[in-house]
Amino acid sequence: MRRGIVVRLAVLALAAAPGVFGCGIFSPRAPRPGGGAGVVCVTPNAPDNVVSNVLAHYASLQGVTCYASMLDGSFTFHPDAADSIDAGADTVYVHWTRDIESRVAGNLAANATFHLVVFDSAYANPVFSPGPPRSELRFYAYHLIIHAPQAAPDTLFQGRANITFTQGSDAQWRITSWQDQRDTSGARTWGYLRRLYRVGF
Amino acid sequence: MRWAVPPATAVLFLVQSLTAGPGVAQELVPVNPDSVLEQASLSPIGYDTSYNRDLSTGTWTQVLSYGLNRGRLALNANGSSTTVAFPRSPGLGGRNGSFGGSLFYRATGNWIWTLNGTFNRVVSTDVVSETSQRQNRLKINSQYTLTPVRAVSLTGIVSSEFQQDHGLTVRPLGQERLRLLTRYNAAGDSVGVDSIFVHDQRDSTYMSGRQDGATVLVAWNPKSWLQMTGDASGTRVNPVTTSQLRDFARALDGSAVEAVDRSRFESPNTSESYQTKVTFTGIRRMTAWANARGLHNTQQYFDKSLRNQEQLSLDQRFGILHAEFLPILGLQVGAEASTSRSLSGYALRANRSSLVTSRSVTTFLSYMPSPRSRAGVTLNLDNQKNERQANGNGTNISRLLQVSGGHRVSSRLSLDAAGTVSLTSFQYVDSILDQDNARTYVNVGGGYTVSDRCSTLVHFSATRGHTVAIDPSRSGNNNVQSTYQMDAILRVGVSRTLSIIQNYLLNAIYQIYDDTQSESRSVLSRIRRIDTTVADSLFTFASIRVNHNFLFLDSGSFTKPPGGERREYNVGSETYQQTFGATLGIQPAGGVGLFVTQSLANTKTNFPSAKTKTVDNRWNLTFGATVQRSLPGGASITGSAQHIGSYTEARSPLLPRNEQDDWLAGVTFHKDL
Repeated sequence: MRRGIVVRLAVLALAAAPGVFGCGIFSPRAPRPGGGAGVVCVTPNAPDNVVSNVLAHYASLQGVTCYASMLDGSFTFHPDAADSIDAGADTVYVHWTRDIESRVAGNLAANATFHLVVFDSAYANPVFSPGPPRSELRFYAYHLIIHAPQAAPDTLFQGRANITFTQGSDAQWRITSWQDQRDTSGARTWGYLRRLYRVGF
Repeated sequence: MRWAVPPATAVLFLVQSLTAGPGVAQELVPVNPDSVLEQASLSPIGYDTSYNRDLSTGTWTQVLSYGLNRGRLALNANGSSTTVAFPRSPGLGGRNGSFGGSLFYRATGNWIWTLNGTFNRVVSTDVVSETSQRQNRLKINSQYTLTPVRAVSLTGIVSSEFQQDHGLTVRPLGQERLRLLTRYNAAGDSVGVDSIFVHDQRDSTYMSGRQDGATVLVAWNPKSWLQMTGDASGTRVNPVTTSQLRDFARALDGSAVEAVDRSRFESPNTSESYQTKVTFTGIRRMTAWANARGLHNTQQYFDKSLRNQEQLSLDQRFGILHAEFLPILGLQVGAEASTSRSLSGYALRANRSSLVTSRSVTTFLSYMPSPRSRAGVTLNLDNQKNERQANGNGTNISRLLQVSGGHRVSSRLSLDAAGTVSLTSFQYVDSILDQDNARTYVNVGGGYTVSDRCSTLVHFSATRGHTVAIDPSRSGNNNVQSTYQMDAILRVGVSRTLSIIQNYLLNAIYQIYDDTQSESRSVLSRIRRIDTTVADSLFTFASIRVNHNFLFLDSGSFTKPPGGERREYNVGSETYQQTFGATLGIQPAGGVGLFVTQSLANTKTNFPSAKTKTVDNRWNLTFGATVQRSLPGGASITGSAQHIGSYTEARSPLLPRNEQDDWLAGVTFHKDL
């Protein structure tokens, strides 16, 4: 009796499997014709390569996928504490994961008409951890120039970014943590820019 | 060693919890009198102080708590203070303080009165600006539970809360902003416009109000196989917010000007929510339940960034159906379907408005005929649609099939396998960001256990991910990434005190671009990795651990030569990465440990095409102590402190040594008074 039910269920599952796969529910769509050359996304064999990809592809429509691939699955973003207070009852910064960061970057890229990302300097020595896994915490002073209708009238975003890079089991480096801080310029931060593009998720 | 910034994260969460605006849906959770009024109070007053310093953050926290139980009365109070500093960013920091208290009084067996008060303040400062938020809440609750008819339980709660918020922001603008000030004559007619250049702002806001709320909870068990629960609650508050926004500016003639804008808002905020759940167990071996929830909320709050009053309305509905069936022992099949709708509308930040609808179906089958065998299949289908947004409108479809199984062939040998197939499809109204990500994963392996101290695990896996951007402007990056990997772990207990653990990993990642124009960008990366740990507890008070981590990585182009059919691998770089470290731990007294670790991390990279190579040696010496001791007088201390010193051997005198000289500490002192 028991064996019979199991056999029947197994047969049913096997019979259903071709249907599930046959419908193509796991097949990606075909791209539209006329594609051009893509952008160069450097293999992240070192933290410098990750930084290079971030600078080259953040807020770039063609580079959204490359930027997203620089984020580790455990990625978290921490805004400046004052930005968090300023957000008031709007819980926009809560639970900022890789998925949120990728979608925010995509929304910004689709909205921006001009973008420039610069890490001006390292305001403190990096901190290395021998691991495993190896990790590196870097302290950058940054500024961005973004022309985007949704961010207007602000175009300059400036502050400090404490970024932790971690080497995964595949030996590639990715960003696991990003702490945003204001500097003394009074300019809006990268965290404030990010906040503007978190909609519906 | 902690690399993240947990205190900063804690600040964030605290900030979020403190800044809940007036009228935010606050659940009136019923109090269980048994859990509150009958707790034994061992010590009425407790004091904790802790200091945590990591690489980028220093946090000092103090907590004082008081508890008292007297028959029908229970009193709890606590106060805390946290100071956060960022050693690498002088001038940047924050302070949080809170004081809270609860008074419970059981008037009768079914009637409870509760008084809760919280008084919080959070401040963030840097060299030139300060942002602070103070929040006071005082709430009185009355809860009554009765059983009007058999099988029905009814609980009612009414509450009233007094609310006060005070926000203050002082900030420079960085660059002057032009502001036009209209001049008026005595009759109120505009007679001209002045131009001023604003360089600093000081904003102060004060909100006060009283929030009244009511909740009804019903539980009805008409039959042993049918249970129904439901609750509905509503709150209403009409806070008054006054704001005083000051602009410090200079006029065209250079003289200082101060412009003050005072305003007063009345903002009725309401919140209504309901929930109901029906559970059915009337069919043998089957359980089914349905759950529906709804929330409607309107609230207003002062948006400090935009210096104006924001109005947010929220309408959420959620429903779920779940059924599971056990046809035979060990076999379980089930299905779950859910749907939700969330509409949020912002008056000020209109581009944050959104309507999100989602549907999800999950079916699962699991079979575990004995503790030695298991198998399972899960199929999950999700569909989420975003509408009425400034951008990102569209549908996100997610499909996932998971299969897993395992069997213990003998007491020593076990086998297992797992696989997933998934597709995530982003289909936007503005189709330029349209993208499909397909992924398949298979993992097969097993373990062999000789004894508790000797065992091995080996797994082989293959992953294939296909990223497909649909729009021609982005499809040039479409590629297939294939990963083949072998993982193995070997554990050997050589003697009672000596153990060896080794992890092996072989990995190859092929990234092949779809478009022939992008062929030159196809790459291959390969890894060999061996991590070894040898640990020996020499004596009862001392242990030694030696680690060796070896990693070889090469990567380069994997492309077809002109006219060729087969791809060839051209190594672009080879990296040898090794870390050798030894740790000695000593326990000189109970609850006290001392340790010292020295390690050398060596990284050697060859670039065959350029015939160049780089070598980096980084030395690290870490020493510290841990303590976990009880002290006389009901006190205890727990913590650790360590010093990390490291540097990189300079390849040339011009290059930085990247020296590190940090003290990390985390100490908590507790005292019962």
